[in-house]
This record gives sequence, C-alpha cells and structure tokens, in this order.
Amino acid sequence: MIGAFCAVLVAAVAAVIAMPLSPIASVQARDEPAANDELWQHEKAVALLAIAEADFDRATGKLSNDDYAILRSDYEGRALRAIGELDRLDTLPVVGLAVVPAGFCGHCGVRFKDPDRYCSSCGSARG
Amino acid sequence: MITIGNLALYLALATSLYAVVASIYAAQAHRGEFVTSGERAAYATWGLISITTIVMLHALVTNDFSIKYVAAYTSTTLPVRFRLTALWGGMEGSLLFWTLILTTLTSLALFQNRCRNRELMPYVTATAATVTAFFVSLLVFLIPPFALLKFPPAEGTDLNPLLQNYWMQIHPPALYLGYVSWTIPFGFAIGALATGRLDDLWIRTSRRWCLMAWFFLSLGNLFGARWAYEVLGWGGYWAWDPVENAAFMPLLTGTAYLHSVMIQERKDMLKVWNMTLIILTFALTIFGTFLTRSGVISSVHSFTQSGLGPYFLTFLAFVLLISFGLVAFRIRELRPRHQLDSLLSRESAFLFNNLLFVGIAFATLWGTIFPVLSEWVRGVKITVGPPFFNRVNGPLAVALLLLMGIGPIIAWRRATFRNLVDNFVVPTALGLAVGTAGFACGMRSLSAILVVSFSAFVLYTIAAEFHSGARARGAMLQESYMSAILGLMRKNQRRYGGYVIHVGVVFMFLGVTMSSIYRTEELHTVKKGEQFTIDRYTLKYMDSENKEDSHMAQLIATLDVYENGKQITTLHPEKRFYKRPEQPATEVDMRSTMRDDLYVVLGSIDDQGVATFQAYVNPLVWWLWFGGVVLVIGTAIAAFPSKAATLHERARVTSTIRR
Repeated sequence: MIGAFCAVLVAAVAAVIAMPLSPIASVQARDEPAANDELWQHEKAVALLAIAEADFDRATGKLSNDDYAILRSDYEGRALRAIGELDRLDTLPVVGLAVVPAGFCGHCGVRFKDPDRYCSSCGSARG
Repeated sequence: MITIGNLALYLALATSLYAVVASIYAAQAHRGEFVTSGERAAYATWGLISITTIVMLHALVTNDFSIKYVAAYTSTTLPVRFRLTALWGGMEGSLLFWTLILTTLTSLALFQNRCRNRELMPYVTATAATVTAFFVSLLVFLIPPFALLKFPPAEGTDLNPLLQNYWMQIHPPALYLGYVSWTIPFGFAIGALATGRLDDLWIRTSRRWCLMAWFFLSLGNLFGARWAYEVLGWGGYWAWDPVENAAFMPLLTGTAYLHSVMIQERKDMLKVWNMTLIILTFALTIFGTFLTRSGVISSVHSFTQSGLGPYFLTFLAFVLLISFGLVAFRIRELRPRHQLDSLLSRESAFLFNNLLFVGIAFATLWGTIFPVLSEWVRGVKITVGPPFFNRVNGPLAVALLLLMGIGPIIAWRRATFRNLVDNFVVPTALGLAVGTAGFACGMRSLSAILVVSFSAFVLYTIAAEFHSGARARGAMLQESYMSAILGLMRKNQRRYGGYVIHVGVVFMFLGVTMSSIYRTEELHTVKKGEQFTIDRYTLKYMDSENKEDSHMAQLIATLDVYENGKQITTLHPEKRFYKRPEQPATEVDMRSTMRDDLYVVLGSIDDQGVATFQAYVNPLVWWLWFGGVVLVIGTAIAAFPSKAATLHERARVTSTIRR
C-alpha cells in the first residue's frame, strides 16, 4: 500500500514538472492571459498614484513648485506611455494574431530578444 | 508513514535543485517552457515538504517514539497542543517548519506573478529554490527528522518546559515568517541585478512582501519579548541575548530599507544602498539562523543548538559573494541620476535615519560576535552585556525617535526657512514644554526626559500631518474636514498607515524607556498572613496550595493586593516542577494597567510556610504591548489599500493628464 503510494507520488511529481516541456503543454500555455497588458496597467497605476501623491505633497507644502513640475512631468510621461501601450495592445488581436508587429510574441505581445525561440513570458514558439 | 515522509523529503531536494537549474537555464537560454517547468518544480517542492510536515505532525501527535525526534521532544502526558508545537521545539522539526514556510511563500510569490514580471521570475524561482535546497539538504544529509531509535522508549523525554507556553506557540511561527519572507524581496533584487532591470519595478513588486516580512519580524520580536516577560521571571523582556539580537538586526536593516526605497521611487537615488540593504537583511536572516543553531555563543535559546554552524557560514559566504558580485557587475547602471541637494531636506532625513538604523545594527552585531572574536584573537572569551548595548544603542535610538518627527514634516529636496518655521516651531515648543514638565515632576534621567520630549514632538507632528492633509484634501476636492480625514486614510494608505505605525513605535519607546529606567524591584520573605509593600502596592501573603498530576507538580501562592487600603486584585504566582525532563519553572502572575505592571515571582516556600517573593513594579510597560497592537493596525492600513479608493484616485489623476 505504502509502496504504491510512493510510486504514485514519484510519478505525479515527475509529470507535474515535465508537463510544460511536452508539445501538448505549449498549446495550453498559449491560452493563458496576456501578460503585457497587466504590466502596462500596473505601470499606469503606479504613475497615476505617484502624480496624486505629488499633487498632495505640493498642496501640503512638502514639495516646491519646481520639484512638483519635474516630478509631474516625469510621471505624466510614464503614465502617457503606459496608456499609449495599452491603447496599442487593445488594437491587436490577442491570440492567433493576423497583425502582430515583427519581433513581438503573437500571443502576449512581449518583445522577443534576438536568440529567443520561445516567448520568455508565455512560452509560445516564435512564429 | 515514515517511508512516505523520507521519500517526500528526498524528492523535495531533487525538485528544488531542478528548480534552480531549470530556472537559470530558462533565463539564460530564453526558454519559456523551462521557466514554467522550474516553477512547477517549486510548487512540487512545497507539496512534498507539506507531506513531510504532515507525517512529522502525525508522529508527534501519536507519540511514535520510534522516531528519535518525537522521543526527544514529546511525551504521553504532554497536551496535544504542545505536541503539535514540538514541531519547532528542536532542531530537525524547526528546520522542517522553516522549509515549509519558505516553500509556501515561494509558491505564493510565483502564483501571484504568474502573469507579471516574467523577466524577473526565473531568477526569483532560482533564488528561493537555492535557499530551499540548502535547508532541505541539511535535513536530508545532516539532521534527518525521521531518524529511528534502535530501542524505542516507552515514554518520551518531553518538551522543554520553557516552551510549554502560549507565547511559544505563536512566537516562533511569527519570527520564522518574518525571517523567511525576506527571501522573496531578495529574490526580486537578484532578478533585477541579473536581468539589468534596475528601475523600481522590483521594488514595487516586492513592496508588500517587504512589509509582510517586516511586520512578522516585528511581531515575532514582540511575542518573544512577551514570552521572556511572562516565562523567564526576571521582570524584564529584553536581555540583548545573542539570539534576540539575531532577530533584531534584520529588523533594523529591513526598516532602513523600507524607508530608503521611498527615495529611490521618488528621486531615483540610493539604488546601490537599497540593493545593499536588502542583501544585508537577507544575509542577517541566515546569520540569525546560524547563531541560533550553531551553539557558538551561549544563549537562552539553547534548545535548538547543533553543529550546523560551518554549513550556515559557508552558505552565508556564498550568498554574500554572489549578491555583491552582481552588485559590482551592475555598479555603473546603479549610479544615481540625482544628487542630494541640501542637508535640510526630507532626503537627508531619510539618509540619517538609514545611517542610524544601520549604526544600531552594526553595534548590535559587534556586541553579539565580540565574545567569539575576542576568543579567536586573544584566547579569552569577553562577554558583552546589556550595559554596552544600552550605552551605544540608546543614544542612536533616541536620535531615531527625533528623526521620526522631523522626516514627515520637512520638505523634499530643500527646506526653506519658511517651511522650517511653519512646521517646526509648535512641535519643538511642545516637546520642550513636555520635557520641562517631566523634569518638574521629578524625572532626572536625561534619557527619559529626551524620550518623553521627543515623543510629544513626534505625536504632534503626526497629528499635524493628518490635520494639514485633511485641509489640503478638503481644498482640492471640496470635501468637509471629517470626510477629508477619512479620505486621507482610504486614499493614501501607505503614507497614513506609516504614520499609524510611527504612533505605535512612539508608544513602544515610552514603554521601554520608562520601564527600564524607573523599574522598582524588591525581594521579600514573609509568613502566611504577613504583608509587604512595593511602590504604592501592599501585598498580603494569604495561602499556598500544592497540585500534582502526571505531567508536573505545582506550588501556588495566593497574594491579596491592596492599593490605598483597598483590595484591587489577587495574584497567584507559581513554582512548577516538570517531571520529564525534571526541571523547575516559574509562572509569573501580574496585574497590568496603563500606568504600571505589578509583577510577582514566587521564589520558594519552605517547610514552615515562609515564602520568598521577588516583586517588580514596571511603569508604562503596558504601552510597549499596546504599541505592538497599534503597529499591527498601521501595517494593515499600509499593506492593503482599498481597491475602490485607488481606482477613484487614478481616474481623477487621469482626467487631469488628458485635459
């Protein structure tokens, strides 16, 4: 009984770890949600909240107008870039894309590095 | 069952090593499928260590004395709740429990980031799996938890009586969580260094992990202090014991880090410093584990000593070498984009705060390892006691308290004369007034006067921060004062949660300072019916009672306590004699109020019924524990921002950008 349980345990562990390396799993991986969208959403949220903090610090006298202008322009730039990227991602089909910029993953939109054969984010093969 | 436990442990070593290799290969070769496979191996390690732990818990609860560990740390008379906590009563079990926490947190971090920060994650997996592999290899090769006895005894040796206490049920888990949680931010830092993503992405991503680690480390230290206060029976809660210091040092560097990251997020400065702090904090958690388990320095925590010291030191050297090697490799990219503009600025206040934290950590480290160093160099072990730590760390801590008031109200970049006048005149005057009032009331200790004075200064500045914040918010959003106060708490939780934590820390400062400086301690020997007086309390020894069961014998004294001639309570201090192992223990009884604690220890009762009591009055010590409660509330506010409020704030700012 214990011997059988041990055998099942070893087999289960091996299967769980080896599964992503099999061709079946890479098909499953393509169905995962897009990572890049979340990344830019996060970047946008951080920049917007940083602007809100700067507004508040200026209003309470902790930040001079000059510093506020520098900070605000920096974070506005980051927020606008994130918003732009999100808008761009919105215009792209998500899975099995017909229109994907060269050098980007057709599934999640992450840019490939030169030697990449698979996407470092979602595991999809480079087309 | 034991076969399953052993198999799961061996498999955990294999899966954790595979996770290291697969993740590093995946990151270097850009192979996404190996990233996933490495993560799966980390999840599998968690599952396997959980199985090992369940097997061990089963053995402890069912008193399987064929296992050496179970026979050494439990008995048939030990209550079940203590059989469960015997998991961290000895070396093998505590390291297994440590590994369980580590793999659980690793799995949580991987799951949380399954669709985010994919560039960093292989390195996070590899780092956490390396630490896991180290701990599991200790369990597999050096201290197997399921080692068997050739001749199992009919009865176990039992758990150390000092550990048979409520606080010992929660102190080690909290402390271990605090120690182990630093592995995750450290993993992100290694990921940032390895990938070259040296912006504040890794800091933002690991922020909540840092807060969690800091929170549990604080809580673990506090629970430990409470345990010492209730169980060790010497009237105090902190003795600068090497193992206490070991838990205190990462708390100091971790607190420094939590402050200095704000400078990096805002000003893109202190990148090298922040990397150094996170590496040091993690290294100090390993060093702490080394101190507890090596036996190189004598400590009240001797129940987990062994000969593992050299292995921990080797691993520590490996961690420092790899980490600082990566920092050196990226040193050009870590250079700051901005410089400090003025010494009178919030950036400088943060920098001084960091120097003080690191200064206290260094002094504590020096005092802790000095006995070992002196023995190596001169052949004589010179012990450094509490006077050294109090003399060196006391002034630094008081300076930190002052900075806690200055930091929040001084302007960023450069404070103008106007800013200084507007923000500092009133709190400074208040601090001076409170200090003078303390002197007039009979305080003659400079430390005590400075602490009450600075505490008033800090509490005022925090109140003023809430007030000016509410006014600014009210003006910006046309809100009423009360709505603005609530809005501040909901929409800027990180900042205002931090202020609440500061309030808790001020309470702790007051509790520690007053109870250390103005403690009264007296020894009295009395017959039944006689009384003695300490401070404003009169204690009348009424009776004593003997109790005995199969687990222990108890000698319980009854004391009626009077204040101004009126009975206010009855205390029952005890002396216990545990039967396995044969060991006496003290059960303190106390009456705790906001003003002071009356703390009574039963020394002995002789054949004629004459009893000896050690009595203490510890002023304001209640505020130390209450400060801990405030700290919990503040951390909860800072760590879990309201999603709705955050979304609303984002929408408001977006509208101002696009306008």
